[in-house]
Amino acid sequence: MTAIRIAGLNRRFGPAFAVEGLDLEIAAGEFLTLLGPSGSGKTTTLRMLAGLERPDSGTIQVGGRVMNGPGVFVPPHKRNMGMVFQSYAVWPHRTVYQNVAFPLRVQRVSRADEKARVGRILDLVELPASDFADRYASQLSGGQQQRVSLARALVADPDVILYDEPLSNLDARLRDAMRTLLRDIHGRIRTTALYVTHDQTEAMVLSDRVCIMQAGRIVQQGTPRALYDNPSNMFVTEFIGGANALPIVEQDRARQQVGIAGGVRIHVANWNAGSASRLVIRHHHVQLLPADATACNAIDATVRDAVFLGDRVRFTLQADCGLTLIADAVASPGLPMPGSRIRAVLPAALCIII
Amino acid sequence: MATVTPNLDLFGPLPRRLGMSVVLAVSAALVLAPVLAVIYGAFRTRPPGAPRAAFTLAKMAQAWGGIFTGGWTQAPTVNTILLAIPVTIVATALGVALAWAVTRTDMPGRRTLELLFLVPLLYSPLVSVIGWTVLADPGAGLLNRAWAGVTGAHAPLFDVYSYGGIAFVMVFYFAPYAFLLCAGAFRALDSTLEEAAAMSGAGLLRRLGFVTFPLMLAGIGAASLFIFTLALEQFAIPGFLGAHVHFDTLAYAIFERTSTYPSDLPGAAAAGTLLLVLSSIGLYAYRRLTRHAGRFISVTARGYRAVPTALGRGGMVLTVICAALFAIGVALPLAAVLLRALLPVRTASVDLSALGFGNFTQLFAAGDFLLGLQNTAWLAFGAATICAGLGLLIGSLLVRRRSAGLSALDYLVALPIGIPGTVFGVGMLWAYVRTPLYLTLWILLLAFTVRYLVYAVRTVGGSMMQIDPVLEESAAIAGGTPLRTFLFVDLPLLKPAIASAWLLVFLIVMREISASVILYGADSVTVPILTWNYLNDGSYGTASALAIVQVVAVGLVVMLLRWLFGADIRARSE
Ligand SMILES: Nc1ncnc2c1ncn2[C@@H]1O[C@H](COP(=O)(O)OP(=O)(O)O)[C@@H](O)[C@H]1O
Ligand SMILES: [Mg+2]
Repeated sequence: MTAIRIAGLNRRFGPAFAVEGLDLEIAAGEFLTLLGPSGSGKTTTLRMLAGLERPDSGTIQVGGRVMNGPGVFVPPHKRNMGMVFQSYAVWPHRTVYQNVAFPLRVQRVSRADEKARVGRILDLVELPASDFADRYASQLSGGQQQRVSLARALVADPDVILYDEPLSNLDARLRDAMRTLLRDIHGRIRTTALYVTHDQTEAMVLSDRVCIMQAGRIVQQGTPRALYDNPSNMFVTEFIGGANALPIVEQDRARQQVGIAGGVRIHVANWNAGSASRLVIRHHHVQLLPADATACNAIDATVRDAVFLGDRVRFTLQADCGLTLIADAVASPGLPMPGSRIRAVLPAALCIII
Repeated sequence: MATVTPNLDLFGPLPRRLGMSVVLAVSAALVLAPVLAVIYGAFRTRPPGAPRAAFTLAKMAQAWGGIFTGGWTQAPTVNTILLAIPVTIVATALGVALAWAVTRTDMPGRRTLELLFLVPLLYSPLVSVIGWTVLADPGAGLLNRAWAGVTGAHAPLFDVYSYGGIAFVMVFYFAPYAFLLCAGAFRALDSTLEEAAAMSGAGLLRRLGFVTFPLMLAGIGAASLFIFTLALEQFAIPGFLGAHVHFDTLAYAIFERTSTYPSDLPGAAAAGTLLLVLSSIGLYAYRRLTRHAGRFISVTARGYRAVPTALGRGGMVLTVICAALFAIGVALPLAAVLLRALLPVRTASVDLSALGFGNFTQLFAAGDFLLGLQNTAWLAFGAATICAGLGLLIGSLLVRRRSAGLSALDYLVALPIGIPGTVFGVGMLWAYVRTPLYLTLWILLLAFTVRYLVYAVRTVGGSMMQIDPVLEESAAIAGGTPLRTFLFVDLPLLKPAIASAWLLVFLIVMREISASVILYGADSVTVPILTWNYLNDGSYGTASALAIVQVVAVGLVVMLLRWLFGADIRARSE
C-alpha cells in the first residue's frame, strides 16, 4: 500500500531549482532515506512534505489525502506528521514532560492517558520519566535533547515521521548509539518514515530504500544493497562506498569483454548499462595474488603504498599499464609489502560497467 | 588570562595598571559628579554659589512628604506614574505586535514597513508635539475642524491637550523603540522551535501562546522597562501639551522650578531625587531581567535559517493594519508639521494658495538660527565622535579582557542610563556652575558624552563579541603586533558597528532637549531648544520650519552614513 505519493514537485529559490521534477512513492511502513550532498535539495523536499515549505508546483498525497495540489494546501499542523529537527528544536523553556506531552495536549487527550503515553514513549527513547520528566531542556545534553525531540515526534502516533539530519550535530559515539536506537524503534513501531542525511552509513543502517539526490533530483533509488552493487553512475558510486573507476577504451559486447589502458582485457559477467565508459570495481573486491599466479582478469602491478587501517590494509597499486588502483584487504600476516610485485585480479562477477 | 587572546595588550603591565587607575578615577569623577550634586543640592537651602547657603532637610521633606500631603510634588508624581505605566504597556504591546509581523511572518511589504516604523527614531519629540497640535488642538486643530465641518458638533473629536492626548502622542513616539528592541529579539528566535509546534499539531495562536511569546517574555519585559524609563523622563511631550491644562509631570516640574522666577534649584534637586528613584526602580528591574535572559535565548544551531510564518490571505490584512498605524502615528503628524511650516498663519481651514516659504525665510533671517544649527551640528558631531572613539576602546577591551578595573568602568559607563535628562541637567548645573564651562557648549558636550557613551560601548562590544578570537590569534601567529593585529583584523570588521554607534549618539544628541533646556545659555542654544522656545512663544510656523530643517538634515546624515559605512541603528545590541 502506498502511504505517500509525490509527483512533479518543483521548488525554486530565485532562479535556481532547489527541487526539480521530483517523483517519489513511499509504501506504508517503509523507511525511506534521501541521501545526497549538502545543497542537493533534501531538506527542501522534506519540508514540502511537512507543509513547512510550499512547492511551486506538484502534488503530494498522504494516505490518499491530497496535501498539496492545485488549489489545495494543508497546513503543517493538520498533516498529522512528526518531525525531528537537525537543531533538535526542543523548547528550552519547557520541561521534558511538557515538550513531549504537547502534541497530546493539542489533541485534547485525557490527562491520565497523556501521562501513560508520555511515560511509555520516554521509556522507548531511553529517557526514563522518573529521572527526566521534570528537567528543563536547557539542562540536557545534545543526545538527550535529540531523544526528547524523537519522543515528541512519535508520541501522537503520526502517520509519517520525518527526520532532517537528526544525528549530524552529535559526536561520533553518540551518533552510533542513536542510530542503533532509531533502528530498534522503527523495527518495533513501523511508522512510515522519510529520513534525510548526507551520511551513507546512516542511510544503509536505517533504510529499507534509499534515494540518491543530486542537484534537486533523484538520480537513483533502491535498497542499500542494490545501490551498492549496481550504481547507475559515477556520482552514486562515489557517494556509496567509493570504487576504482577505470576508463574503458574498447568494448566487445558479444564476448562480454572491455579493454582498458595498455591493451588489458577484462571479462565482465553482468553488462547492463547501455553505454560503457567506465569499469568500476569496489576497493575490497580487488584481489591480490602473487606475481607468478595464473588468473584471468589480472593486472600486473607494483605496490606503491600500504596503509594499515586497523581492520584492513589499503593498498595503492601502480599497474604496468599506467593505471592506479586502490585495493583493500583484510589485515592479516603475509600481505605484500610496498615495492613488491603482485597481480591484481578484478573478479568478473564483481565488475560493474557504467 | 591565558585562554583570552593576549593581543589587545596594547601597553605593558605596569603602565596599563597605572593608566587604568587614572581612567577609572576620571570616569568616576565625571559620572558621579552630577548624581552626587543632585543629592547634595537637595539638602541645601540655596543654589550653589549663593551666599548664606546651608544644609536643610526642608526641601527633601517638601518633595518627598509632599507626595502624601498634597505638596507641590504630589500632582507631578501621580501624573508621571499615571502616564508612564499605560504608555509603557500600550507602546510595548504595539511594538511587539509590529515586530512580530515584520520579523516572523510573510506579510507583504514587511521590509518597507520595517524601515518606515523606524522613522520616528530620527526626529525629536517636538515634531510629534507640533504635528498633533496642528491636527488636534481642540479649537483650531485640522482634524477637529474637519470633524466639526462634517458633523456640526462643537465638542472636539480629539483634544491633544489632555491626559489621553498626551498618552496617545507618547505611545506613538515610543512604540518604535519597543519595535526596534523586540525585532532584534524576535530575529534571534530559532524558527524551528515554532515549526516543531506546528508539526505537533498546533495552529498559529497556539504556537504563539506556547512557544513564541513565552520565549520572548524576557525580551519584551526588557523592552517595556526601557520604555518605562524613557516615559518617566520624557520632558517635551507632556511638558508642552500638559502646560495648557496644568497637567505637570516630574520632569517638567523640575524644569519649571529652575526656569521660572524665583527659581528654586534645591527644590528641583529634591524633586530630582524622586524621579531618580522611580527611574532606578525601572532600571533595576531591567538589569535583573536581562541578566537572566540567557536562559530564554535559544541557541541557534547549524543549518538554521529563519522561515517566516505563512499567513496566507491574512497577510494582506496585516499589511493594511500596519500601514494604517504608520499613517496615523507617523505620516499624519509629519505631514501636519510640513503643512504648518508652509502656511503663513494658523488657519482654521487650509488655504492652499497661501502656501509658501515665508516661515523658512523668517527662520533663516532669525539671528540665532545659524548659531543654533552650528551649535547642534558641533555638539552632535563632537559627542558622536568622542563616544564612538571611546566606545571602540572600552567596548573592545571589555569583550577581550576581564579585569576588576574594566568591570568597574563598565558599570560606571552604564550608570547614567538611569538618570532622567532633567535631573542630569540639574546635577550638571550644580556641579559645574562655578567652572568656566557653565553656560558654554562645553558643558553640553560633556553632559552628552558622559550620558550616551554607554550606547557606543554596547554597540561596539556587541559586534566585537561576534568576532572569533581565532582571527586575531592567527594574525598574531603570523607575526603581527597587538596593535597591528587590532588595526588589521578587528577594525575593518568593527567598521559598521563603529559607524552605527556614531549614528546612534548623533541621533540622540540631535534631538536632546531635557538636559539642554536646563544647561543652555544665550550662546549655546541648540536646534531643539530653539524649536521649544519658538513653540512656547506661539511661533508655530517658525517652529515647524525648524523641525522640518532638522528632519531633513538628520535624514541626509543617516542616508550618507548608511551609504558610506553601512551604519544601521538596528545594529545596536542590548
Ligand atoms: N530559504 C531558502 N532561500 C534561498 N535558498 C534556499 C532556501 N532553502 C534552500 N535553498 C537552496 O536550495 C538548495 C537546496 O537546499 P536544501 O534543500 O537545504 O539542501 P540539503 O538539505 O540537501 O542540503 C540549496 O542550494 C540552498 O541554498
Ligand atoms: Mg539539509
